[in-house]
Amino acid sequence: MKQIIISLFAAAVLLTAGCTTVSDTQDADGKNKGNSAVEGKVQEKKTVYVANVVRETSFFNDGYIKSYTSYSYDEDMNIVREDMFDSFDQILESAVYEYSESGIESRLLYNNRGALQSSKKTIRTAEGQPLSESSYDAEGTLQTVSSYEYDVDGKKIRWTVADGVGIILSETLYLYDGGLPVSIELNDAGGKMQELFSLEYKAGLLVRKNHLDADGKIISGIQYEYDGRNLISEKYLRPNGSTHRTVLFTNDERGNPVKEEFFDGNGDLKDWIERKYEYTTEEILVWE
Amino acid sequence: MRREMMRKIILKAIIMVLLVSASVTPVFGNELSAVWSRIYNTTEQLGAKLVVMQNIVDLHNRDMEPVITDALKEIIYTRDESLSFSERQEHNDLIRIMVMELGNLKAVDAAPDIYEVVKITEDDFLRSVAIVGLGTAGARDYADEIAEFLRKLNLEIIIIENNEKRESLVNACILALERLKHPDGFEPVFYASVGRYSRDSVAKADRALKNMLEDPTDLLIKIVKDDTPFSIRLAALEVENRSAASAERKTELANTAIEVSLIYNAVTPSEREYQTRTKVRACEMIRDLGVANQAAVQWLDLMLNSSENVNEIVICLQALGTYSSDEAVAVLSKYLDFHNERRALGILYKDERAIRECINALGSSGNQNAKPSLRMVEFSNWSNQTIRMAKNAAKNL
Repeated sequence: MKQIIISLFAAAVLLTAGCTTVSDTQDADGKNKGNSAVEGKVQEKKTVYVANVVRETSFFNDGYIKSYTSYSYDEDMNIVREDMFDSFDQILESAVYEYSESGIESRLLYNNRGALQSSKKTIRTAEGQPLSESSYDAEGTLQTVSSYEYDVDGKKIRWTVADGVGIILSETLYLYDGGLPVSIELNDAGGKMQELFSLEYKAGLLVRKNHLDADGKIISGIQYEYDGRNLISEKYLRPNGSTHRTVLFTNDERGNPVKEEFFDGNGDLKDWIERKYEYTTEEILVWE
Repeated sequence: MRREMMRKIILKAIIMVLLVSASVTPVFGNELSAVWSRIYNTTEQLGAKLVVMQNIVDLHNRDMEPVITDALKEIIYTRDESLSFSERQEHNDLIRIMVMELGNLKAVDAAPDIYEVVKITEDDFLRSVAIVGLGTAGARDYADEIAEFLRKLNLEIIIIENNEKRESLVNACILALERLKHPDGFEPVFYASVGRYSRDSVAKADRALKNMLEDPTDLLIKIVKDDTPFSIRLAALEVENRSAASAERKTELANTAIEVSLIYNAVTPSEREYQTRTKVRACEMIRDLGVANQAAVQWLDLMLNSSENVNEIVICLQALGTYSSDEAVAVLSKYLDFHNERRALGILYKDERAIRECINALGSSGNQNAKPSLRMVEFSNWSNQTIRMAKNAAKNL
């Protein structure tokens, strides 16, 4: 799932950053020509690079490998396996993905002895966004169901979690301003707000996220910094503004993080993660 | 029965109150962490807890450490002994994912609770996960306990009949001790590397020994000096040789190994074989490292003059060939003089390898004191090739 998100994120970043463009607006039959019905914009085909994580290695601060995860994909670049190993190449756990013809994606999680631990079934929209995620225990008993609602522009506006018999346990509401999420409200089963995340932007980039309690008191905050449009640091702040933790990102030439370094509040390196990607190209239609 | 149930409920309530009052308000970087932790805290069913915890763990959010630690505390300190087999399995699975994640998050503050899992669980696989968790969390305070556990496994004070379980525990101890890099862990890992474990465990132990300490010389000297079989002493030399210790320190251990090999008598043929191999390996190290530690000369002298094995003698002479000191040259000269005299008296030598090696050693010493013995070779009825070697060696001094 994480790499799917990364892939989508990479695609989005590349789109906004302006990658190789193949335009076919000049086709004689006009089939792919721009649709001027959308605010005078034209639809164009663009080639985007999609980053698929193939290996993620976690290091201790002395450079000793803690664990690594290898990701396998089918020929359509759908993820089929995640295998996590320790530094002795011994398997720690595996996730196997299965895709049904009806479009249900299953993720089965096994422990190091091959015993099923839990599973998750995801149903997606035609655009690939999750509509529902059902989590099952090892015996196959339904335990939780996450349901998502989107507005007409495809923006997530509501996420609820219900238990196995359908009782709503939590509700999360996403509020937007100018197309960007500015507030995330966490409500209890009775719809009463319990916590809130407020998000601030500069030039369309998230620069600050505050976590507040029901009384509006700041519990924590995160400050984001960018190089161009690429995220390069996340600073986790305590309510008094002091730094609790910092994450520094090193990105590859396509803007995807290849290294994430974690520092404590004193600025001491605690550990880091390295990622390797396999890039594929994909043609998508965008409004220009 | 009813009283017992009441006691459990009260105990659970007390622990929950303590956990709530002791826990720090968790801070979450995103709504996912906040939602799942909120749901976990209101979930009663074990199966549901497991699934919700899996969702928390999947986030790999470092801010979840207090949430997972508190959840682990609640589970382990309110253990219900009346759980069925499948409930117990679920219970252990829940603990397993929490302990693994706490290790991944390097939650050293959770170490006492992870160690509690090591102590109380009846599942050796879960115990293994908890031991690894202590290692990855960097819980150095528990290095001694893990070392002691491995020591007991090595000595079969703790006997685990099931091979898979035993190997899982041994590997977990090795991995944790490698990570904790504590001197207390070195000796049990060393004995695991020479123990009766699988090739896989031995390979793990070998790697751990290289990574645990930069300079393990003092610990290996102790092992070599202990009343241990020569096979162990030989293994100690190999571990030292592969370590990052300085050439001087490696030579120190090689010197100790020769000393011990000359003092202790091997009784069985197999032990005698290992005794010879220990001496030969120690001499090879002295020769290859080229440190010329003077303290070793007296033991090389004793080895040279007490051995009847030509391979031992040749390698000992090669080791002495790395020295240029008067003491070493005196040892070599005394040896050559003795054999010059014997040969001059007409005693035949089927094999002149040792004599030629001695000539080489004296030649490479660059010490003028070597000349008289080398010159005597010409007058001692040796083969022409040996005499020629001696003349060249003397000329080059």
